[in-house]
Amino acid sequence: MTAPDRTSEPLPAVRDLGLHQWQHLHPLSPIVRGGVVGIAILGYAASQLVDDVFRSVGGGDGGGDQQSEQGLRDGLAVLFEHSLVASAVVVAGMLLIGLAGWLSWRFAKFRVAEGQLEFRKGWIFREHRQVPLERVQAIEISRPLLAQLTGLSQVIVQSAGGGDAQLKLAFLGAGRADEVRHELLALAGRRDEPPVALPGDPVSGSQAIPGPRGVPGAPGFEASEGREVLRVPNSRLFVATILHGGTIFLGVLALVAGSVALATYGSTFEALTGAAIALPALGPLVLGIAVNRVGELLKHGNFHLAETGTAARVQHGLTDKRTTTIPLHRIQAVGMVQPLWWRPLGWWRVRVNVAGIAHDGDGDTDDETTVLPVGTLDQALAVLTLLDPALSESELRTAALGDGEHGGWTLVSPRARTFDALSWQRSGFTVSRHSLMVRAGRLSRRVSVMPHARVQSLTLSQGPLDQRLDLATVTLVSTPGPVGVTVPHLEIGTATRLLVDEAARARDARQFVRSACVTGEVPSQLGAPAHTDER
Amino acid sequence: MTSELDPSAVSLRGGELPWQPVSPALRTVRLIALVGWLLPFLLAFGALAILVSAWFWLGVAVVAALAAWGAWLITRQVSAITWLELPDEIVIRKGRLFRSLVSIPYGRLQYIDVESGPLMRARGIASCEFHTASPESGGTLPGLPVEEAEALRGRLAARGEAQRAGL
Repeated sequence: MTAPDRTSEPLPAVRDLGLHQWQHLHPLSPIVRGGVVGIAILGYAASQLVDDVFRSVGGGDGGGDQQSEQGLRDGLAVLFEHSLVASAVVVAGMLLIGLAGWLSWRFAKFRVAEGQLEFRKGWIFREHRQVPLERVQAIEISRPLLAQLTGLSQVIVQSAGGGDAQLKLAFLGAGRADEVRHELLALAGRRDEPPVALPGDPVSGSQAIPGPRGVPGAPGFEASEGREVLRVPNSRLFVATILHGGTIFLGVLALVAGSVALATYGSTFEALTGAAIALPALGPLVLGIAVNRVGELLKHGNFHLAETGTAARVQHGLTDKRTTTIPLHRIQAVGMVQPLWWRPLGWWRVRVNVAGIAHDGDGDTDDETTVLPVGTLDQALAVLTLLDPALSESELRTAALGDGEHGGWTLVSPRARTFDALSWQRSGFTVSRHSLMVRAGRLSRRVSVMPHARVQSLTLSQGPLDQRLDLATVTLVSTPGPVGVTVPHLEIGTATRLLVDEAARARDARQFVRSACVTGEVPSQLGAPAHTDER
Repeated sequence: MTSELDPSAVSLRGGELPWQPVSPALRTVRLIALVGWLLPFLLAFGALAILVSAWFWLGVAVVAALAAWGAWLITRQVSAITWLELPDEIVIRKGRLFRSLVSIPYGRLQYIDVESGPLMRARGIASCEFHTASPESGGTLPGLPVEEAEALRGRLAARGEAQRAGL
């Protein structure tokens, strides 16, 4: 816990699993990785072999008089002459594949050394990847179908920076994968806090934080599964997945087309014929929507959310079971949405932006940033306040359902009525000491919250129409993710003031968070707003 | 000097703060690039007009009109780019028809790219690109004199280091 602590600190934990020495993956992993292809090849080879044997037996059958004996002898002869060659080739091929597999297993290894996770693979084309532990954003476990059957898991290490910044340890035994994950998380978690020592900072020299084991938050990383917060029943998820613009559009289309067809043709049979003709034209559309919906279902099926005190653990996947850990202090913005179709049922979806989890435009990534695929408002609020305890449930409720200016909301300019015909009384923002909250949408409702300390940069923009009406749009830029924090069409004065004030608030919040990290007081919270003047 | 500036006076247009323009050399560079793009088309249409059919003069006219419009646009755009170093953030304003203002806190800067192509180098200017943890928020400040760009980078990197905030 004293001065040499920092250098020696990974060691005690590393010794437990021996991660500092080169580790091999599970011997079955090449086969599982080869997966379906390998099985297909093996199956094909086997069927060829059987075919060959039978054909040669059959050939012998037709040839001779002393049928069975001759045939059998012939068959054996052919088997020994030709099929022997064939099977030798197959066996050699399998040996080769086996050898390749063995080599790939032999040369794939990983270890933790000098604060880096190293992974080597390849015999001829060698690959050596290093991931600095302090760059590790999340470590998750994934179990594709084949791996589930063989009892294996892969450990996926996400690190900061770009789409290909993930390292897959595929595969390890399920238990071992869990151990490795915990160990890596423990190691990474220690380095997870921003560098403690600002160069020349007098505090860091004398009053070093008492080692990560002393930080109250850190052990949470090691707590195994955490407390279960909620699970989403698959039946509800199914209904929610079906209730989607695409499927409803299709249903309405089918109804309209059906009734029109019935009205014009007058007979069910002809209408059905018409439908059969029309179907191929709609085929790609239907297929696209179906694939999209089924994908959604597969992704979010068996959804569990747990919390470990410092992180949220999301387990999801109908066939490919995945576990994602979202460290709470890496959450950049949170948002909830309610599509129009879910309104009768009062369901919401909660999503987050997490630093370092790569994200493409559509919101469809391997990595889970949805912390509640579908749930009631109460569940959504519970999840949101869990992710960020500084949020107040009543404010969130106002944001979700309310409109008008009461409760400290600033709305879009009345002049923006032409743009926001439906929602101009609802869209707007409110500011608390901790965060900025934006709500929008009259039919489909959206709420986004961004803590002041998480603002990356701010933009103010104004198109030609805005200019004529003296309006402007303010955007709080977050890290890439599904949640966008934009306040559209404010009066120009309000917008400018919001930008300036938010910049000031973000600055104060950052300074507070920084000082909190130095003193180790609030190690992993988003910055408790109550102590702003302490610094 | 920057410490006297009042961040609350930031506005989308005008304002009493000493907004700095970018180097007029940027206009020249962009005009040259524009001409470089359009000249081949102009020559091609001209040759076709002389060799094939007089109708191709229409193409020449269109390209010439494009060039004139582009030149006017570039002049307007370049003169609309202004920037300001505040105590805690750098603010960049751009655009006339579509106005935008980006405010990037020093503490959020991850790194700063200074780059200049051959044309820009010949004119002694460079462009500064500011990167934060979000790819979309990066502001670009084109057309700074090279020494100024380097100095700015050094200054901002130092300030960023001092104000660095964890994600």
